[in-house]
Amino acid sequence: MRVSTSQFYSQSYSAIAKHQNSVMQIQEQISSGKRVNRPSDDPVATSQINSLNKTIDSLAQFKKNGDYARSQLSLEETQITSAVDAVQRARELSLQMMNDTYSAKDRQSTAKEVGQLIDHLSSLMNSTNSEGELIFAGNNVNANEAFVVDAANSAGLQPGNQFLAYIGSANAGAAYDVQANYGARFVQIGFDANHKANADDKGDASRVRITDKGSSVFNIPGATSLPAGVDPNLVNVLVQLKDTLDQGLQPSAAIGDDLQAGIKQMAKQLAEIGGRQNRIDSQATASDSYSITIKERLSNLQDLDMVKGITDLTTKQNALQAAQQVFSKVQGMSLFNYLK
Amino acid sequence: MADLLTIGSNATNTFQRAIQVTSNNVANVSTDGYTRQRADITSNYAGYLGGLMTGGGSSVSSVQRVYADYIQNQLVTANSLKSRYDEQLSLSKQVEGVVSSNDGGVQTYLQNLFDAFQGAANNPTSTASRQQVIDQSTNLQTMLGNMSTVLTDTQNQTNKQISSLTDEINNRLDSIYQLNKEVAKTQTNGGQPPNELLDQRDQAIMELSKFVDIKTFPQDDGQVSIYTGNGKFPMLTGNTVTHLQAARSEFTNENRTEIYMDVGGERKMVSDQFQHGQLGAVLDFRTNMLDKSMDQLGVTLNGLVAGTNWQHYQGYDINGDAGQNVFKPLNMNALASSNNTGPEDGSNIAVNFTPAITAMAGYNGQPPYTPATQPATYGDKEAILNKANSTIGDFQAREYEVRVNAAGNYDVYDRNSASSTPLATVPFGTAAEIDGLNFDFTSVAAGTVSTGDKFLLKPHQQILSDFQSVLTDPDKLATRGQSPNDTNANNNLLDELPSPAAIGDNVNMANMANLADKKLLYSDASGNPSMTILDGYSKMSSSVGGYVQGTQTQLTAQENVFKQISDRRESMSGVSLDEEAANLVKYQQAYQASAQIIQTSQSLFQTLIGSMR
Repeated sequence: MRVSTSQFYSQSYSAIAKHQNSVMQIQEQISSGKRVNRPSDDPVATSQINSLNKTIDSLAQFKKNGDYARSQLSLEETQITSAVDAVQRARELSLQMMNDTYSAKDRQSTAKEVGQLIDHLSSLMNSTNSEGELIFAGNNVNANEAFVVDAANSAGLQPGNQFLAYIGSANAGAAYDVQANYGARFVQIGFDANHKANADDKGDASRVRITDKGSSVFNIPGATSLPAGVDPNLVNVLVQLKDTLDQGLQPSAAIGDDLQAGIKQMAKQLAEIGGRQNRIDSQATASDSYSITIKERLSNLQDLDMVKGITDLTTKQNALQAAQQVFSKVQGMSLFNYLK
Repeated sequence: MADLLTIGSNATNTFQRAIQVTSNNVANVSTDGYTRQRADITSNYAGYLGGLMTGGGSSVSSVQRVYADYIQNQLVTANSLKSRYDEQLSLSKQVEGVVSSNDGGVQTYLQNLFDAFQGAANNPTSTASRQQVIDQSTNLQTMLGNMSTVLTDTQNQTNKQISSLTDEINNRLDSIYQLNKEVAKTQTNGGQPPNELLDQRDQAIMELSKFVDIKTFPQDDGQVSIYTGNGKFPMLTGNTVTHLQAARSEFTNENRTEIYMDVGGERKMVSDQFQHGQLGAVLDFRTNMLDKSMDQLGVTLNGLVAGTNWQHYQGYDINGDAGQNVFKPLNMNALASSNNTGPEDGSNIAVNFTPAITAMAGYNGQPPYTPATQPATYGDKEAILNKANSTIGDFQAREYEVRVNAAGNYDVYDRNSASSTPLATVPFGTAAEIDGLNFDFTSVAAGTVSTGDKFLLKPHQQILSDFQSVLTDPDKLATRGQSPNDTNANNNLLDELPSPAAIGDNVNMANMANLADKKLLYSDASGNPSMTILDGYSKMSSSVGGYVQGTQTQLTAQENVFKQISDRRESMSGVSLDEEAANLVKYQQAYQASAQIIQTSQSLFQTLIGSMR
């Protein structure tokens, strides 16, 4: 084939330009560490990369949600544990005071300690979290108190003694709100299959409950020591105990039994909270390992194999240098050089 | 009859001419479009000399270009293709970087918004987490605002580019027209080919092919006719130059430059006729990349706006009031064609998102709800939400052209489809749902539109510039959902009146966070949505990537084709300095030898004269 002079030059230039382009592309890949830097680098991988990134982000958010849920639950756990201690002490006092060896005076002075326990317990039952939300009021988190004074039923008590009622109970009077008996706040800790939270959700595997109703924690199932119509919560049993002691009377055995039942109820609740915390932990562990798998997949899709990248760079670099050398040789080749 | 002296002097002339041609080749070794020339040396007419046939020496009969028509034609076509993909690549890479960069793009902002929803669901009474939702919505708005500005700039840029390319093409056509005239004139005057003029014309045609795809047809008189649009539209024939005209599209406010041509005495819009060259690149890029990606991104955003707003309507805010709009709902008017004969300017034609819920059970009014317009039961309200969500699934990445038909009704077409059947026909004075959007013609007064009037609607591009976060008060964020109180104790909440749950409830916000994973967009044939909002974004991103990648592949292929053909041209018509060096030596020696003939002739003559002394 006949070769024209400008072909030498255009050939050399296009070879150099081509190698320069390859070197630049590899340079970008190596410096970003990524094989796919924009959708056109691999359009199919792009949508996978986007969806993997989304999943990783969701998992991170679920983990954050789990951390938040755990902090709420451990606060609830602490409050209930303190309540158990207080009720335990009240029960000891109640059993002690049943003993005939104590005088009315002794009982009245014990009533003072029970009074302290009542204050302590009712403050635990009305405790709030860092956001100022009531912990034991169901979703009525911004009510004034979860357990309010039940004036109507307190008429028969000694002066200074008052029964309390949960705001979800009709005894709560003006503070009564039926909503306090329903619903719960669920926090998402995993992927939801149907992407739907319902108004009366009982929770599914993807969500963990972080609020509880005061009635389900502090009410005593089948309480027998309280007068009819009184809200059957623990603090009321303590009020009943104090009222009995204030009168210098022996507390009834039913009080001790009810307190025991209350402790059991709280222990059950604690176990349930522990269960939820375990779920959060195991979900977090599962998410972590899932996240690692996904990140590995993501890395396979978009990251550059460095060894390959460097090898490619060297290869292309050599090619570029060769093209440049060829050019310098070729441009010296002319018949005119020999015509002297 | 040639004697020695004549032969010798002819031969020196011949070789001097040959050396001239050689020198001219050497001088033009790097002239663009130069075709090497060759001196055609022929032996002269022979005559009888003393009864013998002897040659009459040599002369240069013509100076020819070493040239092949078919290679030049192929080169012109290859050049058009190469320039097209070259230009298309640089334009599309620019948009790719804007709409679908892998880091920090729209997707990051969407994800941040959904994360903020999760945060508010965890802690619905905290002002900080509520504020976070508002902040993230505003961030998304800012991001999209910037992007929309860049995309509008890109549209302006393509308009400018089309105008300036049109000017370039017209200039080239004028100069080819002049060259044609001169070539024809020389051709008629004498036999010798006007090599330099032909080279110049070839070069001008090459340059023209860089801008637009052309086909050339040589005429008998030496002129060249030029056609474009796959040979359909004459640009240069005989004495006629048909210039391209760049002007606004018929929808004057669309901010879109189209190309017009006078074809058969009629002004025609020919933008869709150009395949290659830079002009073809800009036009293809505009339709298949810029418009398409904006429409697809718009579907995603319309899905986000409608999906978020309607879920928000389900809930109740801090004060127990029903949720209002989070984002400004889509509502746009049509653009009227400047060719319309009716006075309607499009402002009475509206497109918005209004799912067909009026006939549904328990319907009391369009959301956002007031206590009076709340549906009859919670179940009805949920059904209405589901209806709205399935309507979102009908969105298509389309632009719509409305044409008033002979019956005075509205035919709605997919603007970019060649199909002549409308997507739907909406009777005069009514509204209808098309592709999930409500096309409302109810406000158009009688007699203000006439048959053939056209209107343009681009709802999915509109949302890019109209996207606005309208919820500014964190207290107005509807975090809580329906009250879980089962008043008639039948273990079913669906028959309850719509009423808010307690303030600590997070069900509605949890459902808004669920939108991140809920499939809402692009329903399949059986009506099941196939993509989440983020998937919708990915779809756009992938198709943008596909376009760029396709262009890249085409460019590489066309560059190779061009290189191969241009190698063929060079191989045939390019100047080789080595060859010219050899020719130079050859002709120089021949010249010297011819001079020697004259010398010999003289010495023969001297000998003859000397013998007579």
